[in-house]
Amino acid sequence: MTRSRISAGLIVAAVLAAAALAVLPPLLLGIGTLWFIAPPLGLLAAAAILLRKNSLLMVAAILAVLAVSIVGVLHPMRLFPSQERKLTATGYFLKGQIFALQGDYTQALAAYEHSERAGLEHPWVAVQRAYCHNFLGRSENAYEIFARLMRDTLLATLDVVHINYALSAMKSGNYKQGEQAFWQALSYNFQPGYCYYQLGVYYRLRNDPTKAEEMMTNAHRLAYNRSQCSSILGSIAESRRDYARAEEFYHRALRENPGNIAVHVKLGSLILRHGRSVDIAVWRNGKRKTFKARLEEMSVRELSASELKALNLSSGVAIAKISHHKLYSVIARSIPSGVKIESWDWEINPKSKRMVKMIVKSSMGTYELEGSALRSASRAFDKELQEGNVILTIEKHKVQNLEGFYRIASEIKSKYVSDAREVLLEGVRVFEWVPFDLRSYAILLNNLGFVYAEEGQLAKAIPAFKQAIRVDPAFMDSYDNLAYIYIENKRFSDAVIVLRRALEVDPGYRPARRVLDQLLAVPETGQP
Amino acid sequence: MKKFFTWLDATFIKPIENSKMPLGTFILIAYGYMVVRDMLEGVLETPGIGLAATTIITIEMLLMHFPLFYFMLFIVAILLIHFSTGHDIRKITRVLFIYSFIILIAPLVDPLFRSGGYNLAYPGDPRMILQGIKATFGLGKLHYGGSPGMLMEGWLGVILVAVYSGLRAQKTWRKVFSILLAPVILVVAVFIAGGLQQIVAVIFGGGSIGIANIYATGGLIGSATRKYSLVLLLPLIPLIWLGLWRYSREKVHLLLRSLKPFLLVLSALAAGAGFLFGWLNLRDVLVGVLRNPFDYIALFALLVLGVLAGSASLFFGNAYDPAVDAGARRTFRRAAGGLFVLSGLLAWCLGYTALFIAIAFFVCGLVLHIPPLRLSRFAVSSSFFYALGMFILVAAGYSLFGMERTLSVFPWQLGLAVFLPLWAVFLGRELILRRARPRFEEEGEE
Repeated sequence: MTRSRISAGLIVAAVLAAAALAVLPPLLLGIGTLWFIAPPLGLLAAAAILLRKNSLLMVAAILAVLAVSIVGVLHPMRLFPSQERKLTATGYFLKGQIFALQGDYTQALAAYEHSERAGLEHPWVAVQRAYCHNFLGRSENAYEIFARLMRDTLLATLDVVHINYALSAMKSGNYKQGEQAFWQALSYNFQPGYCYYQLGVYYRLRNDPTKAEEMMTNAHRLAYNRSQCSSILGSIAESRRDYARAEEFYHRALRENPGNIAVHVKLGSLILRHGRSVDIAVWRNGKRKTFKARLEEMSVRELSASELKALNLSSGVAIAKISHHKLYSVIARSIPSGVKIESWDWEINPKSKRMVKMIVKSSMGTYELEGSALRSASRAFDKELQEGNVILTIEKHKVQNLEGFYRIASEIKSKYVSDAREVLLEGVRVFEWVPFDLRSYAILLNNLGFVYAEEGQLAKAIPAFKQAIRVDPAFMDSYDNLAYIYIENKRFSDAVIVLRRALEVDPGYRPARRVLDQLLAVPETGQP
Repeated sequence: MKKFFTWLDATFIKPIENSKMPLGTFILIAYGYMVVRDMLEGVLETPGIGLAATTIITIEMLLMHFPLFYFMLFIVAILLIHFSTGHDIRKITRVLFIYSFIILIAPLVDPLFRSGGYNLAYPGDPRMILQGIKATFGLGKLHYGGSPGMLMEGWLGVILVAVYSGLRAQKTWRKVFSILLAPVILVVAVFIAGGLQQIVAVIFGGGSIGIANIYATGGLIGSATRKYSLVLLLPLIPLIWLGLWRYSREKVHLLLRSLKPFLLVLSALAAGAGFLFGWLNLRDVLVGVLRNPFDYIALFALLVLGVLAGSASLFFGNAYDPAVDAGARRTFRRAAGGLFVLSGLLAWCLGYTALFIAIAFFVCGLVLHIPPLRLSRFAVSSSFFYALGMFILVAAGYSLFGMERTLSVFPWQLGLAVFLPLWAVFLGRELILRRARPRFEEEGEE
């Protein structure tokens, strides 16, 4: 065989290449224009094979691919109706997947439904639809679909379907089914951490803190979303009035995820209401004397039951933490008008914790309240007590120097406020780096505004509330607070603007409607 | 002092420099450190990074995204040390990979500073870098992103590089230059970690806010971590070539000479055509794409994938070709293995369907070239598998739109219109090649 001779194999290959390149693309793709392009390319390929020019052959192949691609853009390829339907159905399914990835569940749901209408019958499309319903808060629809899938298909054995069925059952109010499904998932070992977490949330909503705590502790032990578990455990402790433990949990939650600004909100709020718990670690380390000395130095302080027990204190003092203006007004009504109240003192029944005696010192002498006056004062005191504005942690308080008492109480209160402010500001700083949870950020700003208002820093409080509204216009508390601040400062027109904006966002928002009606019904002089 | 450095050199550096272990082993050791670091981050640092929970995203981070970052950093460091000291790049590579265990410092040390560790993140914000510099000198605290452990490993890395460069540079000016250049490693680390992504965001997404938009909003590449990986992988490929060229110029020449440019262009075009047809067939429903800038980066990556996969196939062919001498075959085998990994990573970045299709492509290559089957011995089967390989690349392109439904929606007409003509063309090519090399055809087997 010499190099110049063309073999039969080459001839066959050349004919095949020419025919395949010239005929198949236009014929199969149904694009007429290709009849003008493909045959010359086929001839080029045949010539390249016969001339044994490999590069030329590759050029022919490249040109063929380019031609098919370019002509494909200009003229759509011909498909059978069944193929068109399949493409459309699958295309809509894929479209749904893309929208779901982008978090646009409304569009995703529409695409999935379109896909099913176009003929894509697969249980997974139903699963995707149910996911979307779940994300859109239409838990009933999600539950319906998941329940059907669990009943009629083999998908029930998949953990994602089982877990989502349980979740949608819970969210749609089918609590028994949801609880049962989560326990069943636990028995199958389907995402146990998540199951414990959801059960914890459920038991918490059902006011069963013991079970909720157990579930959350299990979830935390399994390292499921630890920061969130600690945060919820903190809330449970807070609801049990175990504030020291709550604070510990919140601190743990922040250690576990410093970016969880919802915990900053909770911790700030806790400190604002109850102050910081005593650094028990100091006492545990055997520095009991130092700890006691600190207490004595402070003179007054709120002590938790466990702290009192630990310190074996037989007596102590009560602290009035928040303003006593309500109590003051009740007392003022009980004494002759025009008499200036200097201070007041009371005695508490250690068992019932009810006020049994109240002595008011005034510029006109000392009054001991009796009868209805004492009952009114007692009721006001009880109310303050229930609202947590006065906390009794001892059997009986005894304060000789009321002025000093209030001074210290006020100092402690301002300490609480500044501590809370620091926690909230830290949350704001964290959000600047991890800007994800907008609702929590709005609450954080709202609370910060509240703290500033408490401190009398209106120049800072108003922008904080405004920013909270900007961050999450649907968080209505900020409108209330901002309007309240304006009203307090007699900026009624500004308050009206804020309340009207709140009603634009939520026309059915009653608190704003009520205050707005009041403002517009009784206009102040010089105000609209 | 000199005695100390001599002891340091003799005890810790020279034994590693003169090690007989192959490069692959060093790479595997470094990869092991990276995986351990990522797993420790998930346990000892604030959740949200590393293997905190076993999800697709964390697996992508653990096995691809973070290792790519470290490899990128190490290769740049190796090249910088090599060019500044003039020392043998093979020895530098061995030492750097072995001592790269310093990356374990952060997750091990951070919990000692703050229980629960730190919220580690890329320094995608210039304020983070400023915080890091301040924190190094005890001026202020690290809010987000950095940690004391990271600062320690950064500065320790600079010191180690400076010591090594000082020991290895022969001339005084090189010594001074290379020691002064050591802090550049830190700058490079910061640039790779944050700057590169910032640049992509600034070019395509309009700054910091754009980062969230272009990385985390779907598109053809659904996962943000795969997008980050792609940003690292695409510049890594030429850097690897540069490193290999310095490692062994002869071997790189051998590899480059064996490439067939037309075949590579055809491979890239096949992948691009698949992308185009995917878009043409589904554009009326997939209205969410092409919008994200990463959709276009994905197209570019797809073309690169075509070239890499085509090259790997050629290297496989040469690695088992009896006409190629044994030494060269070993080089081709290693190169084919390396390209297989790179192509796999690239395909993984593009999507799981693309990855599976790329694996199918390599299976075709194995069947075609590797004994005992070695179907490349026969013209018809060889051409069939070459054409099938091209068709698979078309499908890989299509898979960016069709995702896991690619094979169910791919029009059979298009498949035949691509596959059959290419089979005929490759049959002609095989016959031409066989006529040019009748001796090897007759030898038949290895």
